[in-house]
Amino acid sequence: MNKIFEVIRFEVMRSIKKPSFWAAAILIPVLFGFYIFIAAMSGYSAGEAFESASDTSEMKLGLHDGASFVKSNVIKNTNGDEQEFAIYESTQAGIDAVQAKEIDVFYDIPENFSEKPTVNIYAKPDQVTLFDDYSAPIATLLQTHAVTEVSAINYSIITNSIAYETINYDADDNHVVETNEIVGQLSGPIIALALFYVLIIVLGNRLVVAMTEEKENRISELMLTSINPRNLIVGKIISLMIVGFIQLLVLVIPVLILYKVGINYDVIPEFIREGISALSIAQYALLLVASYFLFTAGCVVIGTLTPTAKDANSFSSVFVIMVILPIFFLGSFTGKDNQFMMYFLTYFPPSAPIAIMLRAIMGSLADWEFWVGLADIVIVGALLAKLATYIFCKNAIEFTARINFKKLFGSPRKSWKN
Amino acid sequence: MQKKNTALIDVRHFKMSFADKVVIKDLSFSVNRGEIFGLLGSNGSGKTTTIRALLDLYQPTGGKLLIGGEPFVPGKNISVGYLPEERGLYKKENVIDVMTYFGRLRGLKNPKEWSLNYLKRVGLEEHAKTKINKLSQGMQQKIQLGITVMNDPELLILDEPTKGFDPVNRRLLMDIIDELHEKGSTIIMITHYMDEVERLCDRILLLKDGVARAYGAVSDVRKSFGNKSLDQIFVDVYGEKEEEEDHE
Repeated sequence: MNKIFEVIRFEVMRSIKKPSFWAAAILIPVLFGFYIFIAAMSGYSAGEAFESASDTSEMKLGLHDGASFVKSNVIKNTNGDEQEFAIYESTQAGIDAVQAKEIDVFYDIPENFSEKPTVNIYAKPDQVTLFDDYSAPIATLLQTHAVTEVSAINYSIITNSIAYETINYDADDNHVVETNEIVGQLSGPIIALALFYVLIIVLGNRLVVAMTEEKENRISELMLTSINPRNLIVGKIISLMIVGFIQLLVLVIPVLILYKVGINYDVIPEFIREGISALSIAQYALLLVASYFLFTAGCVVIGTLTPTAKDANSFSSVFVIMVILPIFFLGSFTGKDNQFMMYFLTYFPPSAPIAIMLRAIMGSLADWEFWVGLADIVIVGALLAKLATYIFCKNAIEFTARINFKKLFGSPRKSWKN
Repeated sequence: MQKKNTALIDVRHFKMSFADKVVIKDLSFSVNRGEIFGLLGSNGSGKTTTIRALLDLYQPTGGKLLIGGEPFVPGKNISVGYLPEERGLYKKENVIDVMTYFGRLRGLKNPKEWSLNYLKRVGLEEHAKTKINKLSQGMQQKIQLGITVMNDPELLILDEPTKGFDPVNRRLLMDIIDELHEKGSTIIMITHYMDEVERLCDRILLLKDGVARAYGAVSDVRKSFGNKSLDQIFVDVYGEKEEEEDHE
């Protein structure tokens, strides 16, 4: 145990003593923040990217036209098919239909629509997210109507000033889901996703190199007559986790300070202040730790298999791509594409962390799926750590040869005792 | 240190193969406490493999390799100092950090103090904070040597210790060997320099084709080969193979 502590102390100290560690630790989040700032300044937001995602072409739609503004209740949807709105005589009747799940979305055009062009949208999805957008069908209906039957003045009002206000009902108890409640659900996964992404970028290469260093510098034999390889690798994995934790602190502490200052100066919107959920953050902090453990263990396996950092880098690139695979199948997560990939990536261990976080953000992740996914990540991470130890025991003094699986899993083999 | 002339190392019917290649056929020998033992043989004869198996870096295909009556476990049997043939250091770290790290792993009580004293002895005290990759090859050898002997090992294993050493470092190594020998350490040397063997070793083992071709006290081995020098014996033993190959 004492020797594990010595390995941890040495590895952590030499990491944090390097200027390059702090340069990466500070610079990458700054660049990340700069990117978000530029995106915000240019009017782009992640929400907008996802908003167009809500596919309403297969939904049952309802309409109450209090202003008698619409002369038709049929549109051509995005598939080119005709889609009909069920007509309701009152706002309450439409709301009742939504709450009873008779229809998916109900659109209410109020009586004073000409003075205040706002359409109220009522929906009851299985999961409510910030990115739900059901406005496309009613916009199409209004524009179709305007083109054919409304004066130029009204057309201008409709196309330029129209607002859509969405009211979502909770799938379980029909209460109106407020924005701060959605923020509460999203705070954990969004923060975890951002931090995990930064960890991969900043520390991915370091994790791999940490395991090839002894071989590349011909230190293995000197080390292994001083310490049991299991202790060495356990110490290395723990130290890499600690370095990651320090990296997280570098990211989180300034954000917490800014948040605190923002609250003091009352510039943080109320729905964020009230919405941020400690429970959600704690839950996803757990997932973040497990995810980083899995990522570390995967990189360590690669490092133990290969003789040099150069060899390891080509393998680690493939591993990193597997980890960020959900990004390439975003359509599957937003419901645009077939959802098979979403489910596959949720349970495929390397991609599970980001898939789970994305699904939580999209609102398509059931509670039990979170816990199954978390267990999947922890178990596979532990197995990879064990595999890394096994490979290291056999491959630690393989200074030049590339992977030889026959030799690795055959005889003669290395067997260290405790 | 325990009393001399009792076996510290006991190798019994050691066999080692890598895939289809048999490196050690059947090797048995012992090394007594307090002696300097020479493990000799040409390149590829299995000397380093034997040491690696002894230190549990390889699992033998067959046989037993015991140190102090049991298989080697770092930090559990006896203190071991090993200068491997493939040797290096953490190149991007500074000298004192690396030495202190190894000292702690080997259970030294004051590793930093020991390291600073050693650096002073070998004239490197000004380089304590220098990164290893900024040191010359000779300076790095001194650091490696220091790490090898820092725990006053009861068993010191030196695999081609003077390979690449300049005369100054060679002298330093010999001094250290003498000091440890006087303190009662058991020393195993793998070397191709027969003058070193004749001068330092009490007993030797000459390996060829995975078996012992000569084993015993230096004087006895020389006697069995007609009082030839070890250099000549080495040439004779390894010349046999060439002659056999020539006949084929």
